[in-house]
Amino acid sequence: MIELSDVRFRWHRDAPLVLDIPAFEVRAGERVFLEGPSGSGKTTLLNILGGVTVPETGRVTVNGVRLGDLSGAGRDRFRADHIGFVFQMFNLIPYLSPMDNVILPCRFSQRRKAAAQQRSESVKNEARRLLRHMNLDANMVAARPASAFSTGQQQRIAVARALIGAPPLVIADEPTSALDHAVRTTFMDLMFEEVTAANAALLFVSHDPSLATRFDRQVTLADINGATA
Amino acid sequence: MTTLAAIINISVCSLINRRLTVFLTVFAIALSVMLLLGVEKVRQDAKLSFANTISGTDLIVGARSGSIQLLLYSVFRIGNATNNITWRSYQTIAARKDVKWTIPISLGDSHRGFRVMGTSEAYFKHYSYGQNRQLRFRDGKPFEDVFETVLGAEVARNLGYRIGDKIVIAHGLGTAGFAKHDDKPFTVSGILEPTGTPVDRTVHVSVEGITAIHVDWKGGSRVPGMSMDAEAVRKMDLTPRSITAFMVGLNSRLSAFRALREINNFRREPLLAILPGVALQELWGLMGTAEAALGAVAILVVAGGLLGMLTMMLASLNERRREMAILRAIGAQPIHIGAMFLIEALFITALGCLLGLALLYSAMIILQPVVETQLGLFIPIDMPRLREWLILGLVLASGALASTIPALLAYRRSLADGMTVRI
Ligand SMILES: Nc1ncnc2c1ncn2[C@@H]1O[C@H](COP(=O)(O)OP(=O)(O)O)[C@@H](O)[C@H]1O
Ligand SMILES: [Mg+2]
Repeated sequence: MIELSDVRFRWHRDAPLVLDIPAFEVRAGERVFLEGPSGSGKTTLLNILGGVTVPETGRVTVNGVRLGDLSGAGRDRFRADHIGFVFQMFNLIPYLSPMDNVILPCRFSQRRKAAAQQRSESVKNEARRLLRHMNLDANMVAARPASAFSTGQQQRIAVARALIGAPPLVIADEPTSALDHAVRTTFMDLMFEEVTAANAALLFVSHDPSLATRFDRQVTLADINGATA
Repeated sequence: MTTLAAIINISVCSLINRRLTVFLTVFAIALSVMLLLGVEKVRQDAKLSFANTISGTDLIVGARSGSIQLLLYSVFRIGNATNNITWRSYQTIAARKDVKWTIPISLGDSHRGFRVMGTSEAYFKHYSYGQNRQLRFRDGKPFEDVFETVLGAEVARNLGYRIGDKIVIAHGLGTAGFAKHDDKPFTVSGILEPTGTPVDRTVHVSVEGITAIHVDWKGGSRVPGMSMDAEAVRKMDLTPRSITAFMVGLNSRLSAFRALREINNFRREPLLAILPGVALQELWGLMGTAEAALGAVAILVVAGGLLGMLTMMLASLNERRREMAILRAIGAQPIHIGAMFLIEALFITALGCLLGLALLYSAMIILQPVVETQLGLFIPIDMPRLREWLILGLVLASGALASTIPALLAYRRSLADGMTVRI
């Protein structure tokens, strides 16, 4: 699903390397826990995988497509079609309802729209289904803006959005950092369940090693990254 | 296509989310648009209304004064004549070989705020307005007797007069409380169809009628002890000694300049002859400066409204960075983010234009009767014309142009921020 080779990245020409990754791979459907201290370059790596940031050298292949071969707009379209993202916080557009937030990727990607329709007849039905699976009340999610929901609820809504239209890859960047312990466990359970049900590969980034146990594989960034910032 | 629809949808939701600031911005633009279109409308309609008031008249002749002044009081009933001209001079010119018809005009009296004009039957035969349209009677016929009157449509409508009603004419132009010629009432013999010109607001009587009501008057007051009833007056010679002005129709347009020259050099009395079209042009020239100043002010006010929008959008840029990053994560291109601001500006400006139009038409509906009664100008309420649409298009384009600044900033920022905002 993900293949990196000889990827190097730095913010400025004179700055030290942030990333220097000779090889890194995530297989289809694999759930990988990527660990590393704050500031070690995890988010930077995810931005490269999403095609938002372009490495200085090296090859990035996602779902069989070499991102380097795509234009900027092409990479944006590719991201819309193939990757669902969940971030630490501020995942949702505050004034849209959870429902509209979840539907959003289907408005930028025909592919995910078609997949959602195939799964549940309509995009709305699929959004409702995912939200229900993420333990969110179907009556509540359409009426109020996303900003009216708790942080834990918002993170679960974000997972539903990442999963709609069945992208083959879900990338989560410290999605539990803003959650307290009790909520965190529920969140991890629900997320795991749904990602598994969707058969998506999961690249989960965190600096909290205690979450690592349930993953297929645990990777420490320092082990794959030659650059020591 | 769906991406664009999504961007538009998000823009609209975002605008609704910020509805108070957005509404104020829209309102400021609406007010400025109303002003701009209002100035343009008044300018056009005033011209049209003036230009439509007289047609087919080759010359207007009055006492020597300014040509614009003569045009204004003789045709538009605005202002007053400083001097009269003698009936004899009028007769001399009317008898010229190149003159086809003449219409005498005698002003100075009023009826309940409407001006009274002494004239002859020639008025109903030869006076034309708009595209060579003749006066037509809605009811009745021209005056035949000295004490008969023909009312303009607005006079009859406003005061509720019908054929056969008797009206009293006041001396001078005041509305009420003035000395009235109440011993000699006039009978309404005819009511004209509406014309959209000052004719509608005029009470017409014969020049003899004007003489008749003034026989026992001298200057501004009744001669003491001298009071004649209508019957006695009717038997007198009522040929006027003087009139205010007269209109001339020539046999051939080609002789207009010659006639003009000769009348202006009339020996017995200082006269002024004008070509109505030329005098109108002079009037436009006079109005041009005021027009330009008003137009410039209106344009500046629109620029102010658009600057308000620009300020609002730039201020929102920071608080919307997260929103922009989220959209990027979902797959929006930086150009979509820029487009969002463009769409937003178009939306606000378009709403401002629409609201401005609505305000303008409301104002016109409210002000139309006032302008008509106070200024004698008929402002028609019709659909915006091409020029007005062009102005609105220009405002919209300026709004779009102004928004390129925040759009470009948003584009660059979202390119730099990517999916995550570092705050
Ligand atoms: N836009 C940026 N410009 C310059 N430096 C950046 C930028 N974003 C991140 N960095 C730097 O790159 C390094 C890696 O950051 P990041 O990938 O966010 O780390 P992590 O996600 O592991 O906490 C840090 O030293 C950070 O300061
Ligand atoms: Mg990070």
